[in-house]
Amino acid sequence: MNERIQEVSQLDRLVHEPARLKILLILQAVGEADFLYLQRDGEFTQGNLSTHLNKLEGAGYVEIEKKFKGKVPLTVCRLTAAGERALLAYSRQMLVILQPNGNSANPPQKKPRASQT
Amino acid sequence: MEDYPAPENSPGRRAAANWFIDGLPEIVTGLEFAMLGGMASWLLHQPLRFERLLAAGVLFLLILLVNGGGRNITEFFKARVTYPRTGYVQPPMHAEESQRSEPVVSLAHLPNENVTDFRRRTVTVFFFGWILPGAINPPWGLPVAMSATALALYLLNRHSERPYRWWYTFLLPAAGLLWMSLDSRQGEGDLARQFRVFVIAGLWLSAQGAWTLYGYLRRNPRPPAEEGLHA
Repeated sequence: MNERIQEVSQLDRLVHEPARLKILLILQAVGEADFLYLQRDGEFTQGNLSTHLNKLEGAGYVEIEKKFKGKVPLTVCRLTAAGERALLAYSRQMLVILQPNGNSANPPQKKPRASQT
Repeated sequence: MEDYPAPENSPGRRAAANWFIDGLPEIVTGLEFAMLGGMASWLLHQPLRFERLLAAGVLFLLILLVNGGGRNITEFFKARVTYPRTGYVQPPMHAEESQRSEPVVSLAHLPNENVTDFRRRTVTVFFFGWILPGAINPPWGLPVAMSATALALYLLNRHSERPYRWWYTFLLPAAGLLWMSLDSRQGEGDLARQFRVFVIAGLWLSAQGAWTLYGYLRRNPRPPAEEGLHA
């Protein structure tokens, strides 16, 4: 079997699921956010988001912390170091899989524009 | 005009825009500037040494507030108004403090886009506007300064997370012209006229923030539950 095809079966399924990937990417981009913001930004239903957050927290990819802003309680989600690593590993795997030549050592480079003379 | 290749609708840019969703940053910053300008003008009119000293102390505190303390005040109000309605997301870093020029090494290692140019492209513009009335002969210093401020605010923020509407920036030169007529009656000194830039710009910014807040509260009534996490 082709090496690239084999790589597909080694993808982290916890990250590969679109809703969870969306959560991880949002948290990575924003730093930290609460449930309500994630629900609005990711266009999740309440139940859907709860389920996926529980799975990500169980895997140690996301941490959920109760904190206070003044006297107002907030429950904040953020990416853990393990989550960051999982996302990075996943993106590297995807780059390898989706490359036309399948060469993992050299990620695709932008070719210089040909002169139009 | 963009100094970094940020996609317009990425999660990070949306988070940065979310900071301005309720108008509170503008209200707080605008009031700080209006107080700063008003206080400085008052200071210039005080003949007694003790009152001048007191006013100078208050002025110094206001300058500190404009430089950084305003964010804490904004967060205080956001915790009560915004977070229960539309959720909490980490406030954006100031653009000048973030490391936007990190190279992109993979799909999952993107440069930080949860940043705001508000301090650099709005607050700094006000300070530049403050210089102009002193450089231009009266009575046209104030209207010219307000026109330049309006133009700079509109152009610099066109593609930022907090753009200004052209018709709203038009109010600044109009306010400058209006105040010019008052100025000629009172015949005040150059420095007092310069501080009017802060008063006008601050009130203008606060009014804009108040209008945004009004719209935000109408669109987002307070939910019954205080807290949102159900995970």
